Amino acid sequence: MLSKKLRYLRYGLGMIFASLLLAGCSSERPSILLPVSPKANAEANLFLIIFWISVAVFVIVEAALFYSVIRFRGKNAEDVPPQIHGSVPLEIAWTTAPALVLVVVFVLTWQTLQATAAPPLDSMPVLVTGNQFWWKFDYLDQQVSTANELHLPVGRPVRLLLETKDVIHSFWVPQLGGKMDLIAGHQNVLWLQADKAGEYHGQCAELCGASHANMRTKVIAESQVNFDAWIQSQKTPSTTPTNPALVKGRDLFLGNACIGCHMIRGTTAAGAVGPDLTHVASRSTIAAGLLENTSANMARWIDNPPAIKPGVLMPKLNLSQDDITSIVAYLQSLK
Amino acid sequence: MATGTSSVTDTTSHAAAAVEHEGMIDTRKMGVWTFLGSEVIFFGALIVTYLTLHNRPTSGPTAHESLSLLIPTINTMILLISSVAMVMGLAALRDDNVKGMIRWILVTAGLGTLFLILKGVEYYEHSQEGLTPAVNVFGSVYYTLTGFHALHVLIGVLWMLAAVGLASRGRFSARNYIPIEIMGLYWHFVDLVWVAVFMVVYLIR
Amino acid sequence: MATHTASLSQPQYSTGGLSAWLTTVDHKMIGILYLLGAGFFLLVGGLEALLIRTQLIRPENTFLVGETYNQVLTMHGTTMVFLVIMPMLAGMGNYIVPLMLGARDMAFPRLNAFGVWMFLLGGIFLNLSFILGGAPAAGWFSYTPLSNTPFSPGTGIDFWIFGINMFGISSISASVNFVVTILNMRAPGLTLNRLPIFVWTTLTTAFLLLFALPSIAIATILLYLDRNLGMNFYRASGGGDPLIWQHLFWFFGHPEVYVMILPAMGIVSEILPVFSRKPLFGYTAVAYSSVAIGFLGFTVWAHHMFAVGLPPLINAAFAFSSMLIAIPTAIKIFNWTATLWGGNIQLRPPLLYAVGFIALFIIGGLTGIYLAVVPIDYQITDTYFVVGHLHYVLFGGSLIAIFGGIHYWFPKMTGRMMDERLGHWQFWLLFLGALLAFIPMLIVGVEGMPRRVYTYGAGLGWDIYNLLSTLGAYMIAVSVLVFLYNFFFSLFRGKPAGDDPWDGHTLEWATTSPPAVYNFEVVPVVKSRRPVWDMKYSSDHHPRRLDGVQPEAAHNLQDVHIHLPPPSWWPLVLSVGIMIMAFGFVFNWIIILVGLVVFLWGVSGWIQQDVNAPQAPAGHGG
Repeated sequence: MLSKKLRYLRYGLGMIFASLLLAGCSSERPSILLPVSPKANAEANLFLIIFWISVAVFVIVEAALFYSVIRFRGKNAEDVPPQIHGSVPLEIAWTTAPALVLVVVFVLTWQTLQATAAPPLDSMPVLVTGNQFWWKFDYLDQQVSTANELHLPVGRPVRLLLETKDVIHSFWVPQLGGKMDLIAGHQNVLWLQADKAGEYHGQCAELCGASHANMRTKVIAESQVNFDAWIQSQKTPSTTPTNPALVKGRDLFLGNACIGCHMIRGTTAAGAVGPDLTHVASRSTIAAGLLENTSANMARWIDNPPAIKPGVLMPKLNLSQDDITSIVAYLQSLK
Repeated sequence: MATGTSSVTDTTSHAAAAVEHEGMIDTRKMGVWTFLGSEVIFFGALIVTYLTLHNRPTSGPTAHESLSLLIPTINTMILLISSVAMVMGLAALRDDNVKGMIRWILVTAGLGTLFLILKGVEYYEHSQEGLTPAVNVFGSVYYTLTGFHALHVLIGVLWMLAAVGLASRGRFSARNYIPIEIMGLYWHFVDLVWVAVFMVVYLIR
Repeated sequence: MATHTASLSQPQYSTGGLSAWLTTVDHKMIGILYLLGAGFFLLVGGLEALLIRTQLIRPENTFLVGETYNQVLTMHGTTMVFLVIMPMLAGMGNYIVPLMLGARDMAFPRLNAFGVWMFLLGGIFLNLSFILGGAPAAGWFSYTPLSNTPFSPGTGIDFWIFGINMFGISSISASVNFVVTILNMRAPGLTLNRLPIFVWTTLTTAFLLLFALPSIAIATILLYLDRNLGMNFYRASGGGDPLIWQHLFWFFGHPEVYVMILPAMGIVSEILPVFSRKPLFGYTAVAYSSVAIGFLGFTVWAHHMFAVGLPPLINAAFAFSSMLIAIPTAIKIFNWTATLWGGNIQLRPPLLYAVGFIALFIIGGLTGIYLAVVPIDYQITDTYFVVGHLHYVLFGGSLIAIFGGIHYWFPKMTGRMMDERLGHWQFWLLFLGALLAFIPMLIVGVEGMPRRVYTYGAGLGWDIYNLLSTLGAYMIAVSVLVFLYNFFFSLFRGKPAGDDPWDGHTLEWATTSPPAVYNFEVVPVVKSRRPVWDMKYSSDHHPRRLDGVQPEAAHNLQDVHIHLPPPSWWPLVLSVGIMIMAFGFVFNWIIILVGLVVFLWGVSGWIQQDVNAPQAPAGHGG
């Protein structure tokens, strides 16, 4: 009953927001009012209840305020109105009224908090490590490690174990639910569950340095079958190139500073500072969700990372355009 | 301290319906009380930080290994006695015995200095045993909490020496004792803070 | 030093000339220094806001990026909080509170001067960081480890630390002074129960600062020690904990919000009755609700930390205490509305701003409830929703009330009226600008945009909101330009105001505009909450104007020997010493010693300056 009404209310509010979107309704809106998980749903419902309560309060109080100003506007500045100092019954009334509203709000808060706080027992653990300015995802049960794009099976609760290598970050994918900070010396837990296949935008929500704005992430929710296939493909080591152009690219990669930070399983590259590139070509974006994963973008990125992402640890290596082209060709072969 | 307006209030004190002066606290005294209220939070925040952090597992010396009771116990005695000396000094001034007051204040300042010297000896011993402010979080909280207290003692000692200087030029008298009284308030406060620090740092390690 | 004891026929020290301003201990000149300083920093902080909004006008803009953006962002927040709103309110308090009390000055005039110098020099010190190695860039709450080494190398954060502490020293000095002045220096008959609400809120604010500031002093000093002496308070690797910073910061930071809003509420509570020609409705409820907000303000700090992983029970407890604050806030809003109700509303600029304050502050208050509701906060904390919310509290609230206060008290301070037509123009630009700038922020936060991002992707649906918000910011800028023109025009060409242009209620309207150095020729006797109204109107339910009634003097005029404290250089010397020490802490310890010498010279001069007249009138209690 209630949830059905809420859906209408949400629809109404969604329409208000959408009508404000003069640029047209974007399919990628990471709005907290477009929830796709049970938790985000509960949070959105609570948001709507508070929204309509506050709209009611807002309308009543503003109306009373403007009515008093307009209705009692005086023409003769010398006139003296009746001198009223106060009213105890009124004071009692308007102390009690907000208190009652707040009791309701608090009870709803408590209920939602209880309902969404603990992860279900059968949840799948993923270790999330925040780095300036990218995300590392380790699937603990599956022994798979990837970066910036979090693949999840639809309908299955996931337990994110949040840690950071440096400063505080905050993991947030609005459509999947509220955020949680990643703090050195603490391991926080955030659980979420995607109920609908799709790609969901997320990004770091705690100021973490020069490229805080560029620390994005994407949750890719897919069917269990597709998820399992993805896990299988990620488990394999990298493909060894045979094409001479790709071999050249690989040798350049392994012969340059790249290996100091990056790992490509199946080669001698075993760096642990930057993202694992074993299957970099399987990702849809690079540079923590900043650029679409195309050869041109990758070349631009390798040529001068700080120009695209201020403060990034990856340096400009002054590679020749030819070398960059070869390296990109090799990396793009790592499906 | 700034007392320029005391005579302004005096001109109004003739008023019949006065809110003022009936059992009113001296302006300067109230100012110092107010400031010390703020200082309570200052040390309160430091002590809470100390309690939160001093037992975190880290490498290096721990509170249990590093701290011994001998010097801090002597220091507690020294400060308690110094508070008595301060009270004697104020009493002497109220009897218009400026010379006696100067003697007692010098005794107080001397005890304060002795406290600082012993604290220095204690710090030296710690550093010999490898406990430095940067070695681990216990070192950080320990030196910071006791260091801020010691800084307050130092300021108190300098205040007393300045007061003695002014007193020898005839600034204070039985009618003008408030500046010495507020100095005493500050000193007793610093003394009380030490008692809290002593309990928190040394007794409940 | 010479002592100034004078009867009324002898005018005191001049208010002209540079040295008169540098050595002043007069609360009115100090108040003006606060207001002018804060006005200057309002332009600086406003410019920073325009830079930020210009960068965000469209997605993937490259006008102001990365570290530079973060510097401007950090300085915008720090400037607006510590260098604009707090000193604006402190300045008004300084000027108006002693007048409202019927006092001749603050309790400690030199301490008062010291406070304003610490603010002004601290503001200059902090802003010098832009040209001395880069401004701080870790946001106005400077979370560790980002603000710690190695993530914030350079001197920006050190400048921030010592800037904050200089403002802290300033505020502690001012607060001690306010507490003692308000409790000790009231005119005869002015019981606590009759204090103007602005005085009540100033008193509450002073206590808030006294108990909140030590917490950030500790937090920043520990950060300095971590950064510069390799200590471990906030380093998880050395056994420390970054969350300690957040607790210490917000134990200060949330009361700080009430420091910025309570005196603004006080201003509104003064303006509304005068322009409704009625007493304030529910005086006791309004006064006590201020005190209640002050108390509760210390119990809610962790609502800024719901997403750091505290146990749900702790979060719920802080949610509860945060929600409680809505009750005293609502009480105020209802009483204000009831004050207007049935009045003879004179819609002149001060009232316009006061009503605008209520209208916009309601949005700030209601959006605050969302942030207290933990599950919603999980979603919208650290988003533009919070940015919108806090701007409705601090811009729509505090700053609009401050403009109202300036329009209200400008005639008292200068003897001239501000232009009312320009006042109306400025108000509507400000009011509509605040709606246009900040409503889109609330929406875009709900749409998923985090705060403090220098850029955002196209195609997420955020473009239009950011464009509108930027246009709103430009509108506000135009409004400030109108204000500046009005201010300077009225200062020189405004209509003469007279002593009581608004038919006021409180004691500041019982003296000349601007008031004489000694404020009141005769200290008035107070018999009600509206002493100046009492002088003008009969005291029945439908009062009539009385003619020619003189205020009752507390004493015979012949007895008056007004003692005024002499001007003093020492507050300035002391402040300069502290500023030099602050440079030393940032750059080189040898400079600390130089600063210490100057500081001790200042102390020595201060304590040896004899401010008491040896020939003080009889009855001097010492």
